[in-house]
Amino acid sequence: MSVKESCPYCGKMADMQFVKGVWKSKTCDCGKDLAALAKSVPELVDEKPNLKSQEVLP
Amino acid sequence: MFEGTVVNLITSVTLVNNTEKIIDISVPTGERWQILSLRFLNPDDVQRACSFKVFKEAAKTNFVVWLLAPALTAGAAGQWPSNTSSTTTMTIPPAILAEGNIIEAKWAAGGASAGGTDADGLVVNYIKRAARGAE
Repeated sequence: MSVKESCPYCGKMADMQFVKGVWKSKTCDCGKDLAALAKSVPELVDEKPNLKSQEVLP
Repeated sequence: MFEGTVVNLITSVTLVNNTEKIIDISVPTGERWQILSLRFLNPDDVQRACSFKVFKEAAKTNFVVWLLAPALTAGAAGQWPSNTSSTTTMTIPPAILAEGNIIEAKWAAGGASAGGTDADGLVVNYIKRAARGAE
């Protein structure tokens, strides 16, 4: 299987790599590290419920 | 009767300032996919117009079907199939893809932004079957 993403530096399609069940960015043929780029931008964090009571429980 | 393997294809998505993003997923030789659902997010802090198309081949010369074309606000998620009525996109299944077909996921440039990434920003849920049968 092939999964590719556009490189924001050169505009060409770069191969992605399969790591632990997820297709992730890697270095483009133009030499730019797209994995490092992914770490440089804010990460979208899913909201999680707070399961801890705000009160002192009996 | 049930045949085939259910696959959750998970792809990270990274969007950067005012730049279009495309992710191409190809159906390997010897396989055909029945697409059950697509789930996608906009990890950026501005609205992004998205597009999900199927092309016949890697060169993307022949456009087979347009699945969905939503505009996602910052941090929002979208999903296919959708009950959004449209004459330009296919909002309901089935979508059965042949070997060599390409799913093109696109996030258009959305103006100045901080960018953003999501570890599971694009998830394609499909049944993988062998590409066999009478021609």
